[in-house]
Amino acid sequence: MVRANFAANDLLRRRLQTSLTIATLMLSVASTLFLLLFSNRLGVGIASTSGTFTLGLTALLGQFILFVGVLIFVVGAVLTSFVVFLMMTQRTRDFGLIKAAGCPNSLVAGYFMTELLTVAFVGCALGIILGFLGDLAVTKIVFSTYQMPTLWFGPLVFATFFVLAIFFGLQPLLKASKMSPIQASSPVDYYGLTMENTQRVLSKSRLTWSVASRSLIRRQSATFRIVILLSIVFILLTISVAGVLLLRTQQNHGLKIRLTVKQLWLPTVAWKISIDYYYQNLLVIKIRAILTILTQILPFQEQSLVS
Amino acid sequence: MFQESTITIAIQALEKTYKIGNDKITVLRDINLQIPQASFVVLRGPSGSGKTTLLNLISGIDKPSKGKIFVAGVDLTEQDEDSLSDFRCLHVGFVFQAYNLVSTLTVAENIAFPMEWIRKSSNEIENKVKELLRMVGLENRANHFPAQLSGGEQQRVAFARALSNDPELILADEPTGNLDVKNAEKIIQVLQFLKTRGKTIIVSTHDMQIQQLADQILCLDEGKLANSDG
Repeated sequence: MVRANFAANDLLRRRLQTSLTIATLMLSVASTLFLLLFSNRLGVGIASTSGTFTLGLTALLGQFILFVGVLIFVVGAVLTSFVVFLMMTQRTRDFGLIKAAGCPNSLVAGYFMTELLTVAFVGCALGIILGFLGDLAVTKIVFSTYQMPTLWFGPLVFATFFVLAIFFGLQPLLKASKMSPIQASSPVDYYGLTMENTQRVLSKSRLTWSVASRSLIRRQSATFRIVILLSIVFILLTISVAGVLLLRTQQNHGLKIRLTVKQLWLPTVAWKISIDYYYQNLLVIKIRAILTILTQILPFQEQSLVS
Repeated sequence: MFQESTITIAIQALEKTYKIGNDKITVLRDINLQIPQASFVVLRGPSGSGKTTLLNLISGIDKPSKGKIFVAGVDLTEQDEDSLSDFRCLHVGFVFQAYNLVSTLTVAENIAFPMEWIRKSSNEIENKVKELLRMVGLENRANHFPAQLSGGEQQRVAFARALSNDPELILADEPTGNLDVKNAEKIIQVLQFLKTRGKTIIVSTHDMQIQQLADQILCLDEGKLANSDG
């Protein structure tokens, strides 16, 4: 039986592009969910031991965790929007070509909408599964006991990222559907880049930017590789932030919250040094400043006091 | 809206201008012509004279800056994007110079694709695909992808795709421009066959053999209709 089944065949046969988009979406969703779940666990842990903390420090650490959670959420959302927008913008030309061949506007929009929905759904769903699995694995390794995570984070992250993906993916689609096939498939309007209104000699920096930005969005595979690299950086960032938080918690649990008096003095000392440096600006002051900071940091492990 | 049996093209005071930066480039100016039903028209002229633009305007792929285009009595310049899409789907077969085949679909799927747009049955699609593949001599390449075909073969697939919904109006933009003599011969045979079927055909070409098939030859020069032989 001969049938084109465009949306399905196109997705399956553009293996590299489809899998890269899904992988990026999945990693964004998974790392966001993981960090939300994990920071929530840490937050609960800190709250339970807050009796041994000063009230101010508990609030500070709680705010820091909240800040990291929000930051990761925003970065993940921006990355998701960018990837989906890029994916659908790259289809503008195909949209124009299929429309030029005679495909009705609504039908061709339907094909690409199906692709967008499929990629967004699969990417987000896999991300949620991976996020929960990551939380399970890390929690089992770090803490001997495993408590059920806050489950409503799953649907919350899924819904947010899915809606974002659809919203940003729809923009190029709607734009392409309003264009004539010639416009949509034109290299001038390709990827939404329009020609300069005025022809003038570009400055060196403007020319560099212009060449770089155009190469970035026209070299599809290279762009997707960069996106993947960004995702990896994003994941590494997540892991390292989680690692730092984990280390702190381990120390807190293992040493019954050890805090050095010097550690609390550190901001005051740093402030004093910076004032001195401002007024005197001497090499000796610079060296003394570095040594003073080092003496505050290095004995941190050995000279800590049990509160 | 469009009545297939009365496909006739009337163009009045047509002008097409592109704006590039601050410059305006007029590609077509003051084009007036009538193309009767079932006629074979050849558009010729030097490169950049506006042949492709005129074909794009007649098919509704592009919109004119001024003037009117009537196909079967309907003014294309008054139609919205959806109506123009429907018009192209049901009444026009366009063979592009660059083929414009869908790279992720096989030869057979590319030909079947337009028939799915008008919801033909699977049996009907299968029979039509076989018939068209036989007509363009590509039965053995049905499951190959466009990238696995030569330019001449891709052009023949583009013809088969253009004919899949049996349109009354066929537009071909330099169909033999990139082809060797042998492949060009096959395309000319297809055009001859379509002429015998009573289709309205407009071909932009420099090929002398195709010009011999023409009922009317239109010469474009710098966007103007220079003369017409018929």
